[in-house]
Amino acid sequence: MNSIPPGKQSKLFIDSTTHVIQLATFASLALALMITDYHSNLLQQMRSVASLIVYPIHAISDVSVSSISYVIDFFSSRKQLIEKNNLLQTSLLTNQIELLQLESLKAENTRLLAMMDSVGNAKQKFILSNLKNVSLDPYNHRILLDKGSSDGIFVGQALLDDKGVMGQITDTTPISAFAMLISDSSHAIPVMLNRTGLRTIAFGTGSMRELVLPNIPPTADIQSGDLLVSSGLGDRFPPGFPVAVILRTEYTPGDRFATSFAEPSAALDRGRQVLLIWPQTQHTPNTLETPSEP
Amino acid sequence: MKTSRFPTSIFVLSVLISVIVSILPQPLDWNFAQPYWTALVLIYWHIEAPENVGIGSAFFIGIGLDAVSGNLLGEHALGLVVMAFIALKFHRRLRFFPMWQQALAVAAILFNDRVLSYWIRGLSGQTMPDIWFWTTPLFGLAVWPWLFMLLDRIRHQRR
Repeated sequence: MNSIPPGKQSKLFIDSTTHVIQLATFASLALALMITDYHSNLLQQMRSVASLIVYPIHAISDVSVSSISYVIDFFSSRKQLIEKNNLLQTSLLTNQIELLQLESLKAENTRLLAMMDSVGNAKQKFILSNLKNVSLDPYNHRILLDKGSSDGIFVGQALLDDKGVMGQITDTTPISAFAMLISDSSHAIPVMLNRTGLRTIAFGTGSMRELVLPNIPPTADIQSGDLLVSSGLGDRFPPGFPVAVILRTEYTPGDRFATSFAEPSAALDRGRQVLLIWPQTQHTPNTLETPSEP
Repeated sequence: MKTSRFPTSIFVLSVLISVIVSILPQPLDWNFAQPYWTALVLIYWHIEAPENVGIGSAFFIGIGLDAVSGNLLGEHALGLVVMAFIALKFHRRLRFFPMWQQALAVAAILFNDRVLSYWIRGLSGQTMPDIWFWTTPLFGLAVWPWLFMLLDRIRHQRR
């Protein structure tokens, strides 16, 4: 058992009213901070300053992780091989992102919806970023990235991996950015059923494995296995990227809407690299002109 | 003279390490199994050196933790402030408890924090957590004796 150092006994009676006063002061300060942070953007700047101050802590955490993985790499293969492998993986990722749009394009062609050919005909601009951290809080699906506003990252920017849409940026500092995943319960993304073109909205559930689509018309043609792609409505997410795959649809007769559940396509809880995509630069929709094809 | 004995560097270092450990990347599915390290370290210092740490320090550490984790500013701060208050209030009793009793008391403090955090989540419209949310204090209970002995040993060696 621990012994009490002799010096401590003299201060046997610490004034407990001071503690109550301190508790009241700091607790109300914390409450006030939370309310301000929740309701307004007043703390936005303070938040980015705070993020800058704590950046070294993130850096240390990152170094400790990467040094461990480096040691593992070192013993498994030679350094050049690792570098080459990394390079190849980067190019694979960038290539795959361009391929992602193929499926949605195919479906569109079969439906002869030439009017929506804004998808995929322009080259997207994107940047590769490393995941620095996931949220401390498992019920709060947020991740920290190692690119910030100095790299041109902006709030609302879409986040992808090689399999689909991951989320969007919610907070930036010059050197880092926070992103919210599509599975966060406060997140919603406009989607389109790739097979039929049905437009709806997919909400996060707080589970990494499930999104919910609460307002599907009961008569809609929707099957498990159907692919949901981003519809591009709302100008947040680029259109045509896979978002999720329908798992099941539940409908209680008498209800106004059926509810579908879908599994996110992106590997939300795996991988260390993500792509940040820029919206196509002022792509003027020439869709109103009649197509001159035969 | 008395205050000069307080190992400020060890205090700062232990808090810093606890924050770093809690943000180390890990699989999200297992996040609930991670003890609330910063709280445990703070409780230790509030039991063992109540004259030198206070509710104010808990507040600022909490703000730091919120900034690091990208949470609502003040969420961890409020929890840690309340925890610091409870630990200060009962530090004399806690100090004389046998280890198992002390660990149980710490788990109770951590559980209280979960209740508070549940309440804040509800008010701020975040996801309501699942059953695993309530098991985290048990992991705190499991590591408390070891953490206590480790910190005690480091602190006494410095003397």
